Amino acid sequence: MNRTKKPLVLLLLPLLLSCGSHPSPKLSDYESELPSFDTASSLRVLQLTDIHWNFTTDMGRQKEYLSALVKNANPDFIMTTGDNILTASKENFETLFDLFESFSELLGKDVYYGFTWGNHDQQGLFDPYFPGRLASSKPHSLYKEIDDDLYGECNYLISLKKGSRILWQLYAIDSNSLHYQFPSFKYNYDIIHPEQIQWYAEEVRQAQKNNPDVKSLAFFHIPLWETDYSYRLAKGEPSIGYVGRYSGQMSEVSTNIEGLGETKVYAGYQRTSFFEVAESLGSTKAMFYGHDHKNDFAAEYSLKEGSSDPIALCYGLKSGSGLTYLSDRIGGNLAVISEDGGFDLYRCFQSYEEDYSSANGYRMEAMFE
Amino acid sequence: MKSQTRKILLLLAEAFFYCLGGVALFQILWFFIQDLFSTDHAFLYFLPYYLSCLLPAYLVVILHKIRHPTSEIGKKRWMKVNSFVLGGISLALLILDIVYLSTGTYDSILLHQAGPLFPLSNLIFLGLTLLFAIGFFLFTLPRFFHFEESEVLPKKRFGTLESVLVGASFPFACGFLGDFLLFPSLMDYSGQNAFLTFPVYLLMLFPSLCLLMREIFRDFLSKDQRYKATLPTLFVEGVLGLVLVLWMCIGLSCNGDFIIVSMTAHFPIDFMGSMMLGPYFLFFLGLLYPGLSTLFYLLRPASEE
Repeated sequence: MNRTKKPLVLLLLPLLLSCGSHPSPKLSDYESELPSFDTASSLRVLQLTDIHWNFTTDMGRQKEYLSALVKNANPDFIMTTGDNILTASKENFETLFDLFESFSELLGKDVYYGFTWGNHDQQGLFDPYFPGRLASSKPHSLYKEIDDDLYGECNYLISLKKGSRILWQLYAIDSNSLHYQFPSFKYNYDIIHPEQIQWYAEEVRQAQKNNPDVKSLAFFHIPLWETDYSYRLAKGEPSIGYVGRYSGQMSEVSTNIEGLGETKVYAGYQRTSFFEVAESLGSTKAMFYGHDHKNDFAAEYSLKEGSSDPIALCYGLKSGSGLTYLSDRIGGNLAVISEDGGFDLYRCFQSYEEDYSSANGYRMEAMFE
Repeated sequence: MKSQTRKILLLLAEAFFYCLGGVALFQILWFFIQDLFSTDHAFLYFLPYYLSCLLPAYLVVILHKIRHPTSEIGKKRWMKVNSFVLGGISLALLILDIVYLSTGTYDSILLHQAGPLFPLSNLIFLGLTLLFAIGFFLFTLPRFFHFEESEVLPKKRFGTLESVLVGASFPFACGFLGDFLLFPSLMDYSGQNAFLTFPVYLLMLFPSLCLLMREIFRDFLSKDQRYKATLPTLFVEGVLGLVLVLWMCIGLSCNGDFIIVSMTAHFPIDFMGSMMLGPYFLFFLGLLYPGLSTLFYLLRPASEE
């Protein structure tokens, strides 16, 4: 190396070494632990989805609606599965997160919550990382955003423990936003990326060292291809895998996804191995997602014939009237999880009312009879 | 008022409303697009807001015609008619806002919808626009103000076609400038895609800069100066437009997701409809302005430049 080049290389060396490198976080960095089962034998996890607050939202009316839903569902945890806003201001997000904070006072107990992001959560008059910064700053928020090489932002988990034993985990996974291939005019919906699936698998295996029977729920925004398979099977059409009990409806207009065909599931642009990996690990019992406002179909689905341990694939009930919705099918999903590993799934319907006292407009039904 | 000073003031005024109009046009896209896609539309509810957002762009059109009149009488007539139209629209929207407030459609003067100060901000804006329209009309009355006669430039070959094409692209150029002006609020400050987003930001600005150059040439250069400066300017515009467009396209082909990761907020229509529209519009505008200007330069005789 000649004399003129050597100082230049030395000057550039820190820059070169720092290029493309992220710190390598530990698996535990993604985890929040709560001793929730120390004081309760069962916990209620409410899924809210596609709230879609925006510039034109009557936030007073929407706050009343969500407060009524939460009060009637009485959750210990709330997880949103994306599209919390759409064409919104910072004020919309701040008001929404303040509302979530107020639920602890409303219910007279600590109500923790987390967020997953959808394909619209960055569509607002703020920089792309504002929602994450805000979500991380709230006292009861368990949202975590780790500086890592994992694709997406909202990849984290909550471990619910009894003593030192992890009984249940709640996984928030970023199903990301859109995917683009130049020079197309069209965006496709994105997927859970392979490194995210690998991270999930590592976390589950780590938890299984603590408790081989650890159970989990997964929350993300964009549904999997397996949702479409389960729906086709439920209709009696040939498809991949095996379906057990199912309920709900698919009222979205059909679309065409290359490789999947005509479908009412606005899934990612390709099939991923996430479901397969989850089923092979045996921890995740249910997956919750949103994205398709007029779908609330849920099914017990497995890729293995004769499986006694299928995974429930569950569209969330659209939580409110933002953007498009069916007025008689809005609310949230409720998972009641027990310390013995059992769980029950419910749909909590909540309509808009002038007066929400006496649980007006609220009804709960089991997801699978 | 000296004609040079008047030209500068009028150009500055048009530029101000052009920038304001751009931000308003971009914001109205946010509102209107999600309203359009919603089950519960709120068009009538936000009608005063939507129409108010179009007024700055309308002012740009008015001022532009004043700066480039076809005749002195035509200019005065244009000013009188448009001051009435502007005043009429502002008054009508103001009354509509007041009706909405008094009937409880808007149940507060600060609704925390459509911005933190709406509808108060709209009332103030419409009030100022009404006063502007009245002042505007008064300027047309000789007892209040006396103008020197405006310079009327001779018609150019293909001038009408050029005006139509430039006029048709004006909302896009103006809207993208508004998009650009909001970048401090919307930008990805992590820097991860800075090299790829840079040409996109410049392309948002590029059509408006080309329009500005046109106006400066028309208003402030003599015929000889225009003749000497046109070709180098066209060359610089053409090269710049081409470089920015190629840079953006190479960026999209290498990392198609950079717009999704770092610029979602800048393209509301794209992400509502999952269609790559905004960057393709920028591609088109980045080549259109220098391309058209060069074409008309080549088609016109040198005496008309």
